[in-house]
Amino acid sequence: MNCKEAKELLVPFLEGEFSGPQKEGLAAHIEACPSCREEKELLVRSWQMLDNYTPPKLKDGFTASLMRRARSEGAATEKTSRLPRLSFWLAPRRLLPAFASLLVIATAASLFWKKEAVPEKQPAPAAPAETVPAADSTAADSEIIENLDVYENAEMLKDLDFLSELDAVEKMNSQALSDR
Amino acid sequence: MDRMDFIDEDIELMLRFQSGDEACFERLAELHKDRVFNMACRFLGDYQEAEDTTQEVFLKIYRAKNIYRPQAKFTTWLYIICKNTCLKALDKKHPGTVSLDGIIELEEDAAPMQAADPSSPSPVDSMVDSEAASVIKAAIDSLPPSQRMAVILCRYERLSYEEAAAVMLCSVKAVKSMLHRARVGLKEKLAAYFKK
Ligand SMILES: [Zn+2]
Repeated sequence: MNCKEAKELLVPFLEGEFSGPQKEGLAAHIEACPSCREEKELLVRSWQMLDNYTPPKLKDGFTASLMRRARSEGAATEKTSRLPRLSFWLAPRRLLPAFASLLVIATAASLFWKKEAVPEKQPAPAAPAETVPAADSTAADSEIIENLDVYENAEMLKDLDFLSELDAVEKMNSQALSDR
Repeated sequence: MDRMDFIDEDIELMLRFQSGDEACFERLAELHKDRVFNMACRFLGDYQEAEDTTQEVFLKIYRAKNIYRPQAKFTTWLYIICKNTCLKALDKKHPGTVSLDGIIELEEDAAPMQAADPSSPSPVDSMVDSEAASVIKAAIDSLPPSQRMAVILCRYERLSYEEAAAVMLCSVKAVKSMLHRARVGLKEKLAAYFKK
């Protein structure tokens, strides 16, 4: 083993990744070679030195201020708790686009249907069909509108990366196992 | 108290919070705020950003009240949220240098967040109170984000390679490789300090 090879293996060696003849061969080279020995020392000392950097303390009152903010946010999004669990809707994330298109189709269809169904009694003095007042809406419309309101107010939906965090946790066990 | 007790306690607190006991969320924040703050501080290198990030991490957990399911260690989930929030904060500071999809996609040659030269202290160096600490901080700051995260998780948070891989959404092999390069990089930055 030459020095170039040995130096490249120093980190995995220090991390305990070798065993048997490979480990012994490397240990023997380090023992005999001042240059590799110094390199190894520097790696060990620099790694140990990291202990000397401790971040400052988080200031007192952090939790109290967090709780104030969480509660005020919680009060603002109180509506979301009317849904017993969003997970039925959130869990199959692949279905989100499909759900969204269904919603669009349903809304469009209901507007179209409404437009068709309104008898042409007067030549429309006011708004176009898109701005049908809520009072005229069917039960299905108001349900969709209400749900949209709830979804828009759901903070967790604003944080889409949050969903990936959940996904990641679900995948974690199997992934960790397969990497072993 | 062994490790299992911690796991059980965290998950139990989260479930009790889920059923309406806010004091349990408060307890979770108390238990883990330093862990989250230290990680954010080491990654972002800035006290105020780290504090904001810590608050954001716990607010995300608060918002997850209704969708949380206890399928993994609570701390793993916490680290994942913390990592993502840190990346978001870094991206805000240096737009385009990180991918928010997963740390493995981070640019290896992304610009370090500040000059690694400890002789030109920036305001964030007031965070540390000794020469050694400021040299180490500068060395860590100079690492590419992915290597920096690997060092934080494996060296400071003492996660196993498997746990770190789960947090970083990459393979164990990738974690090892990031860590190896980080060790070499840190050695090069810190060697001068020993040789003084
Ligand atoms: Zn040698």
